Amino acid sequence: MSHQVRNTYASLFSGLVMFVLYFWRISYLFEQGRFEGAEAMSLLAKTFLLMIPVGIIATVISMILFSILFAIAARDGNPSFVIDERDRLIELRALRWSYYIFGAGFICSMIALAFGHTAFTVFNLIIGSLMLATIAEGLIQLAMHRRGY
Amino acid sequence: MGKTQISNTIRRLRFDADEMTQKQLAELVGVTRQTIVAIEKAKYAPSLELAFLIARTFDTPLEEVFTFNGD
Repeated sequence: MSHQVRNTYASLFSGLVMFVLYFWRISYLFEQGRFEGAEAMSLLAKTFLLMIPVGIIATVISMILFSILFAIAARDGNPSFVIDERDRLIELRALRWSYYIFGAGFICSMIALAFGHTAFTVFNLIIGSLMLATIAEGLIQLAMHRRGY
Repeated sequence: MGKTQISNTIRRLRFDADEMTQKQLAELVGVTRQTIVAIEKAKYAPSLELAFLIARTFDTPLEEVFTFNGD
């Protein structure tokens, strides 16, 4: 297994963790009625900003853990850390799909806004599509690596 | 994903080069073993730079390693 595939698994894992953590936190605050009133958007933005350092830490930890786990599973004491031109091309192709998904999500959120949904819903639609695009990017990368290109 | 229009003789060249492994070739040209596998199966067309590096590794002209099969 190449270094890039290990990194993709790690990013996918941390992306899923972030997705679950963010929406778990949002639904918890929502049930407590914290998103009512003038402070709602400020709280939402703070929750999102808090997820950025959490996401960086989760990605770094999962990359280290996945490297160790795959090295043990493959019984490879000297794993490769090479990222080559094919890896970069696959990454670019997956990023393009991720961009399309995020773009579609953004348009959906604008449609929701046009039809009278709240800013809270629209903001979460944008964040949701961003996270979905990140997860899709990882899955597409894995599929391309598996198929050869 | 479909095959590329570029076929190659890397597998035979590796065999002739004292049965060089895919991993050894990958290390010599600075790519992953998976990329060598994809090139050998004609699932991935390498960059010109990588193609020259592979040809140089086997001390063979580029056109003897890669052949364009397109129209």
